[in-house]
Amino acid sequence: MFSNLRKYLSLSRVSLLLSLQYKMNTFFLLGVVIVPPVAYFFLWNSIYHQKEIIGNYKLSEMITYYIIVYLFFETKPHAWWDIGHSIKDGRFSLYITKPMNHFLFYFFYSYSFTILWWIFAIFGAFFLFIIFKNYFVLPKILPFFLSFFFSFLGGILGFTIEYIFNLFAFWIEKPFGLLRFYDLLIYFLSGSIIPLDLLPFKNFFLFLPFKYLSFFPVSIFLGKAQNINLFNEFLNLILWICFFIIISQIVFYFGRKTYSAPGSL
Amino acid sequence: MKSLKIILRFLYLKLKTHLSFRLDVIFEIFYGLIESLFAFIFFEVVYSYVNNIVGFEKGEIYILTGTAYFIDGIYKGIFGTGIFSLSQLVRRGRLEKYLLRPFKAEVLILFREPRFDFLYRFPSYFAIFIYGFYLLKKLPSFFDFLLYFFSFLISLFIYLLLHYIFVLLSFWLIEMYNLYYLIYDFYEFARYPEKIYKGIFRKIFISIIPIIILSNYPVKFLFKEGNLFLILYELLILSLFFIIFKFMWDRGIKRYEGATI
Repeated sequence: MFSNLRKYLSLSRVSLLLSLQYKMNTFFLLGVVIVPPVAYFFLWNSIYHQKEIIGNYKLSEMITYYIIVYLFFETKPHAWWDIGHSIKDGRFSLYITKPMNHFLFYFFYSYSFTILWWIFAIFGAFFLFIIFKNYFVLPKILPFFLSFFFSFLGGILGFTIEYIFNLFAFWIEKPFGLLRFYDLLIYFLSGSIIPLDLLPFKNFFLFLPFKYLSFFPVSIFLGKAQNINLFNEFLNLILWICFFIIISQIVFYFGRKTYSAPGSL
Repeated sequence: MKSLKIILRFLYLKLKTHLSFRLDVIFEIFYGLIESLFAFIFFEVVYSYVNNIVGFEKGEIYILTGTAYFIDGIYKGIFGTGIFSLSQLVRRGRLEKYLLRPFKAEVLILFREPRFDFLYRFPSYFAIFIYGFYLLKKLPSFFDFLLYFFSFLISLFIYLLLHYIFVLLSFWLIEMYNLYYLIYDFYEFARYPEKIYKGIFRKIFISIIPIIILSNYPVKFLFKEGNLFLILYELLILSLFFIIFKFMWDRGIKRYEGATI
């Protein structure tokens, strides 16, 4: 699978160049990193007027939580809906004739496409830090880098699960309702709407792998993972990634057998 | 009359086609359910710690949330995709397909691609709205509800024009679809009570990008806080946006160059 990495790196280069084509358009994506945390700031600020601590979060921790959650979650590369579309309209035939692994093709393509977006988004988060510097919890060096590292791995996990959902297009006539449903579900389960440890049945939500997409890296950033064995969490995350990659290859194998190249090519 | 019949027939056929994808319909219903459920969980958690948010009781926040969902859902369901497609029509040079028809092109584009998937979400939005009244244990008068409905309609058209104005920039910018999504990001401000916003942000989101008023002004009529000034202010914003829209549309059309035969 990894025997010929060069072709994937070439693909990454092409993808990066494509993303540079419309820099202004990518710049406007900043809104999704900047705007919702500002709204959450006002909301939580008014809530904290009545209570100093909510769960185990102070106001500054809550504001930082949302700024970093939006930075981590919204900049994750997506297994584009194009996968589902291509299966439905027959363009998928183009991919199976290429000497490339379908999963890796989209993986490298998507990751490279988001590099520019990442750069803009970090500037966006920095802008928020300047506005809300009195409400921002500065992390220590090690948790800072560890949170980005876990967020990167969480991104791979999220990409793989989303890829599997896209492959359901092999069996479903129109998979887009399912994909929209998945997008919203993952948004909640990753802790992007509210910190998972504030939810009822929190142990259930913290058991699921989706916490690695946002909640867990942000907890490290906030220094709330001090009592957690990070090496065990790392192993756990790697196991989840391996598990879903295996599932994705199985689904792809059986899905491809059902594929009949619909549409005109 | 004949044109209206054709449009309705066309919409009916589109709905019928959409309903044939049953599994997709089921997932859209589930989407609406979990969307409301997540808002419900969020506010249940918040209200387990505090009694109110800037004076907003739990019931009131659900009425506000339901209203915000309705405005967004109706916009996306009927006009959203059509308006968004304008940027592609301009970029690919296919706009003349609509400019040459014996109908106002700017209206035709509005109804170009209705998305019925949003209709399936309405029952869950309605449920959260009704649940708000259930918690409040009081109903507004018929007249208050009428004013709410009127204010709701103005909000819907302000929201529509706001999107349309942003999309009209595609006459000048080549690729700008992410700018269009920016309005959806701003809409996050409409989901919470107006009073939480302070300073420059409040001024901007009440006047220049009047997102806050969209859901907050209509619900004021349900809470006996509404007055004529709110309606007049909404009408003023609507008129201003319409003038800006008309100006940009006319300029944009002059600038447009087709690419089809």
